[in-house]
Amino acid sequence: MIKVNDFSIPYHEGITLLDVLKEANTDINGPVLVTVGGVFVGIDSYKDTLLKDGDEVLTMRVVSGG
Amino acid sequence: MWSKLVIDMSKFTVEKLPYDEAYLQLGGRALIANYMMDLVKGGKMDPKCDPLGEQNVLIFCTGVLAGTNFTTSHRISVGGKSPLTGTIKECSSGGYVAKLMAEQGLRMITVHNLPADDKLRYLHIGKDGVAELLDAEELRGLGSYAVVDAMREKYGDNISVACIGPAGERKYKAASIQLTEFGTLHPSRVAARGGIGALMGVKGLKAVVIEKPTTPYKVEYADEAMFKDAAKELNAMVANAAKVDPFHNFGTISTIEKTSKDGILPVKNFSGRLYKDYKGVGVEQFMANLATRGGCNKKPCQPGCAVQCSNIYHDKDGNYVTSGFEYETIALFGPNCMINDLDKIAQMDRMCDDIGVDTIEMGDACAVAMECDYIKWGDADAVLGLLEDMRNGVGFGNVLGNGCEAVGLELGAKRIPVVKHQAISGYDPRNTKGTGITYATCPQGADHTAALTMGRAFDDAGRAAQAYASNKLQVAICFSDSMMCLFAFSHIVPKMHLLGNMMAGLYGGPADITRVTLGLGVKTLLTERAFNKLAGFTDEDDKLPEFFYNERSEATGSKFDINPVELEVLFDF
Repeated sequence: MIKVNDFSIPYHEGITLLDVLKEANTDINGPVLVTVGGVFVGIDSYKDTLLKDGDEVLTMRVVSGG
Repeated sequence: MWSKLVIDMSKFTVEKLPYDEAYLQLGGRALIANYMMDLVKGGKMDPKCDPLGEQNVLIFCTGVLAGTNFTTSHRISVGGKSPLTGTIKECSSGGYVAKLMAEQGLRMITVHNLPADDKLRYLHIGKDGVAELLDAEELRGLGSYAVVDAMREKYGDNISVACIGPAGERKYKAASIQLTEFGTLHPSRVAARGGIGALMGVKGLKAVVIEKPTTPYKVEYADEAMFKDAAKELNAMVANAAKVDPFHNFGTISTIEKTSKDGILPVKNFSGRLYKDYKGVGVEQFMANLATRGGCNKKPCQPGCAVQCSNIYHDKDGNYVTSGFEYETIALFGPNCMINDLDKIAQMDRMCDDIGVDTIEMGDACAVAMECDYIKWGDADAVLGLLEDMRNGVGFGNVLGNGCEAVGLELGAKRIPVVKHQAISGYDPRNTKGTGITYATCPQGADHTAALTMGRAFDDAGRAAQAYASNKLQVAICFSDSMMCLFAFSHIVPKMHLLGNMMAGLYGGPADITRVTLGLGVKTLLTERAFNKLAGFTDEDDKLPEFFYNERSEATGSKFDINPVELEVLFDF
């Protein structure tokens, strides 16, 4: 399984980060930042980032400033 | 029982006294406001006094939850009458100083009067609790990093330091007080705004050095179980929320991912256009630099912080450059100056921390200098050269040290982004109007941390809603700044009533949130506004620079279309 925040999505070979974000209904056009296993992945790399079984994806929306 | 230190620089005396019962349930911003108004009522301070004269008082104080295990309870507030704005000023900072003050049993340190001679001194608080003023002439002219090194040499690594650099010694109006971070001892946390460093400089005080005490002070609770239950629940909320908080995962630089898209990011002296190259100064580049060079993020600036938004930034050779590298610095030295190089901006951050100046004032000032053709747009080396001149107190550096308005007036600029003389931070008010209302009406001058109304709830809201948001948030930030870091506060809002439980657990009385929202929130804001009124400020001062009202943002077509008369109606306590 691949964990996306609080959801789990079944793993299959060849699944990409973009696939998983779409499956999790993430609005990737907003100011959203994504990590895989704690490592930042830029939006241009979503479709090329192949995931492994057990990967943890975090999506976070920028809502404030500092 | 808590204590306070009262320092009289006219006699070079340090008195350790019991902390006032009347102030026990105050801290941070609330304490500074009430203390200063009490000085006014007692005839000891005229609000119209010269901020660099003998009546002004420099105040260091902890928050009202100091000494407890609540996450981020150890912010420090530094205040007085601002040498830059002339208003009341509270600067909230992270770092290790408040924690060691609390361990020493100290809630407040006040520095009074002007020194009887021209020598520099530092306040040393030893591990045995003894506090004394010592000769600091050997530290004269040193930047904050060298000051900290000297103090580590003398007292070891179990210390915290608050100090001024050459900017504060010269009483520049943009001078800051630098504070050391927990763990690293980098002097990269900052009491930045309003020239508070000049106030420390005119007192002849170069540094405050606090050693970790042999026997830390133990907080007395009215109901320890009530406090700890509430703190446990709120701590868990913050820790859980931090997992998906961009500030935890990347740092405040993540803000640029939103502001760059919505026309909020200042570009070319608040021209209002979008910045196509923002990725050069965005999260992706920042994280790539950290990953390949040995820097890191997720650093707590104070012990026990769950948000951990700080960072350590290295150059391409893996050498340390700076830490606490934040959105405001990146936005205002970066796109606002048309500089697209994170490494150069990091050097600017380091220099500002070392010289002891506010990076927001400096970024805005350099953009104004570029618009006036004093230096070229995008010329990072020219900016570094100006900062070096400021360090050395030569040429235009002396103008730059007094901030954005001084630079603008010197160069005959038409567009000077300041409110109440203080530089506007990294949010174009035409595209976040609630924030613009905050800039205009906040008693502190242009201060985004006073109420930043950016985000889904506010973005498309009408003017009345934006004013309402600014009003409510300004109150909330007043009490947040009296208790904790606002980055933690944002995560506990759904269970905010537990703050009342914590107050009751610590100090007794009812577990009632209004003692926070009214007692620390509304009352503080009204007290600050009252002080400013007595200092001569009127509604006429509650407005943005003209160009925000007249020029449309190129990105959105929006102007700041809330005029002062309308503001009076929309924004009301």
